Amino acid sequence: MRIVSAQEAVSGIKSGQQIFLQGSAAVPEVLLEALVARAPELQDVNVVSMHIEGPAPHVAPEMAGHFCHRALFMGANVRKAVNEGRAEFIPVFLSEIPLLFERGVLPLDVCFINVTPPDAHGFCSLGTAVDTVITAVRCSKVVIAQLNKSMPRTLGDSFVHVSDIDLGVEVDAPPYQHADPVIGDVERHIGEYVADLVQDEACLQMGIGAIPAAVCQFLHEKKDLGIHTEMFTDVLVDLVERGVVTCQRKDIDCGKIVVTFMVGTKRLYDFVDNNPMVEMRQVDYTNDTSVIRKLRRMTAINSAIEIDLTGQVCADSIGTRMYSGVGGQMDFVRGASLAEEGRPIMALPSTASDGKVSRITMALKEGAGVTTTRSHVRYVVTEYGVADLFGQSFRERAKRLIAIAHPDFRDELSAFARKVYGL
Amino acid sequence: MLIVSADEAVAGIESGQQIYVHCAAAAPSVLLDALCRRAPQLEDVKVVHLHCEGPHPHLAPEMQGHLFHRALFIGPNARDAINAGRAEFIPVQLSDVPLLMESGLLPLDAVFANMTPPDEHGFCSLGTSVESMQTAIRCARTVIAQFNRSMPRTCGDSYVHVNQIDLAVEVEQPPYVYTPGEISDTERRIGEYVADLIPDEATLQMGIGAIPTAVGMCLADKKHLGVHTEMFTDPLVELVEKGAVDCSAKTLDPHKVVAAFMMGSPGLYKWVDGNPMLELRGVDYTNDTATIRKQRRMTAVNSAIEVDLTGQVCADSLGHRIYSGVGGQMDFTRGASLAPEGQAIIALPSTTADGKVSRITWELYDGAGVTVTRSSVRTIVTEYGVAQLFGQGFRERAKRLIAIAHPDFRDELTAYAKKYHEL
Repeated sequence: MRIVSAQEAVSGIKSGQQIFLQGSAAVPEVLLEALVARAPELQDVNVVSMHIEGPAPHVAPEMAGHFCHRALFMGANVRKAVNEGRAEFIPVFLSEIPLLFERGVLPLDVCFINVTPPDAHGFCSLGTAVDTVITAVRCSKVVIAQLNKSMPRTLGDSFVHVSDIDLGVEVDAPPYQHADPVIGDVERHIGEYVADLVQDEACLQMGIGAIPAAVCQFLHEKKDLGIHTEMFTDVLVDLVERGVVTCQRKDIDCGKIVVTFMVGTKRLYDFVDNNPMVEMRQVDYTNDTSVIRKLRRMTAINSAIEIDLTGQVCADSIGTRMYSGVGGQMDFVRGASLAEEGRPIMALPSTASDGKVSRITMALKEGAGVTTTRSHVRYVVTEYGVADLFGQSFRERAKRLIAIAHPDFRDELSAFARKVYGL
Repeated sequence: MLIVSADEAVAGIESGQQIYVHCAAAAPSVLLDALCRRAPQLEDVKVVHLHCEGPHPHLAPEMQGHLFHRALFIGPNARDAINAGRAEFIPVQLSDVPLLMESGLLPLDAVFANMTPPDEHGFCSLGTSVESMQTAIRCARTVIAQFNRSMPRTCGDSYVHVNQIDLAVEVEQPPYVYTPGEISDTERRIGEYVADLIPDEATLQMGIGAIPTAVGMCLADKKHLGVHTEMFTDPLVELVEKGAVDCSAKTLDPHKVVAAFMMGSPGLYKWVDGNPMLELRGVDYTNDTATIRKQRRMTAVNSAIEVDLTGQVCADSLGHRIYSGVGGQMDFTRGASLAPEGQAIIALPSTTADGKVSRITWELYDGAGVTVTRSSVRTIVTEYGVAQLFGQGFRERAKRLIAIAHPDFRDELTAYAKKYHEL
């Protein structure tokens, strides 16, 4: 490894190359800015990543032709570019991204990572995001690292040795922070219903946002919860500090919080720094149904954009317009379904657009993507209650879903269900 | 165990009870006929089964109110009743059916089974269908069997002891025969493309019908193929007899053909009779992704009704109208995708039989069910070639799918893709 400036680090990037970018809070912004500064000299450089925090300067309209962002999961900052065709979305399970690299379906020329400076043994920690980075590092021809004094040193499968890094740039850039969400009444009701479904000793998977935060507020009296999740967040740290999460009843990785990346505030990043309770693993472990199903009372809490009356769940798109991605939803739903006493839960507000649109729909919007199929779906929760769909017919599903739809939409949903499902 | 007449055997069935019926070629028609004779005295008896061959007297319009069919997979003979609302469909992965029974979500009062008469040790073989029968027999309060001298004695997890049986009726009723239709040029070409994708030593899963038959015809020169499938059929027996299938290279269950049930000719039933090369197992084994993914070169070949330009596969419905069911498609697709060198193939003609409708569509029909999601899908084959979708963006998926669409529809598909996917 050679220590160089950011400009020198990216000077070898050539037109047509494909770069993997470490994602979420660990976006290597110094390298990315240096790359963007070189835009006029570069053409068709593909930038592959999962969701990235920060301004995403490489997807700005004037970067079209120079950079093409290829999103494996997308956040708000790349949505416009994807929907305008300046960037693209690749539908893939988070758990299978390592396979894309290994099999050369997504060949990587360069990998940009954001790691702790090397320790006495020469190891750097990948900090807040391990997700698919170990495989990306192994499959890339050139590895360029930000050696970042402000990156927390996370443990687990998060280490890269300096001998695997070609160029290092010394930086001091704290990982991106994501403030606590505001919890409204709707989310509070949803949180209460979901929490009722969480048993003592359950092992949790949840994402980020107001609903997971609301769920956690109602878990304070639970005992010996565990965590095996994709994303680690502040609200889960809160449960650890309250003694609610102990991970002592987990059937595998007992005593350990197992996660693949994290997004939150400084409190979260301080908690994980050198903390042996937190075990970072790649997505091909955390999101593998064969692993997830081994956890008794695995409880997967995910959200959705809309659900039709047969139980088809759309979480990645609004009609033909791409919104986010599939992530680990299907893997966690399936893994939790197969786990002993496991419970996959879809939690969503009953309406969108200020109450104008029902999220429980007669049919998915034209072009919508199904992320969880109707034969996989189990519990659906809104602020009006819980619908358990497993083993239920179309007719019964429609009945149960209408019962938790917003009252303003129940009549028209019932009229439709009468016509199509003989309700 | 008591030997009784068919009418005596069903005399204890009461109104409101739920009966599970042995599936496919093993449909116990003598017991079903007796139940129908008793139907006028009964109200609301639920008859649960997968696809069953035979005339289905319990689905006749005059049975309404007396007998109510609950389909876990729909055969052609149950389709009208379901769409008319006289029967209902429960969307469920085949692999999850045992779980439905065990969890009490599908409580069973009685099970109607069709098996060989007991051997000298008291064991009966479930013959042509093992599917979920072991679990059904364990969970049902009353087990009523046809002791069928014409049922082949299959090996594997297919044995039930007479002690587990309450009432038995002696019958002689050969299992139903399935005769495939003619193979058209379209299917022949699809068969060739699929066969080209299958390497020596691959382990196969295929269904029934013209496409699997066409694929089988093109595999005679392959070496050391294996079979791990849901349904065992004549084309697979032919491959065994030609020496192409010997199962010697299977990672799991080497030298054994593993299946959950079978349908085909009298020759098939003769071949399986007492044949230790065939191991029938429950669907919770054959269709478990954790099992499937262990087979190196696992190759799953399934079909579809339509595929949209993003790769969403619909195999169970025509819009809101339900057509078949999900069966094992998703489990095998996922298991094969995760297997070392595995391949998940969806093979379908580019148009409906009359050529009027493209099966590769801009978007799925309103209300259509997605059986394989766009992040799970891998390889699509039509008579015009092969489209590899894994790791591809929407734009590239549209391009590759249009290239294998019927030429008559390529222009309009391209025009759409230009608009929505910036082709």
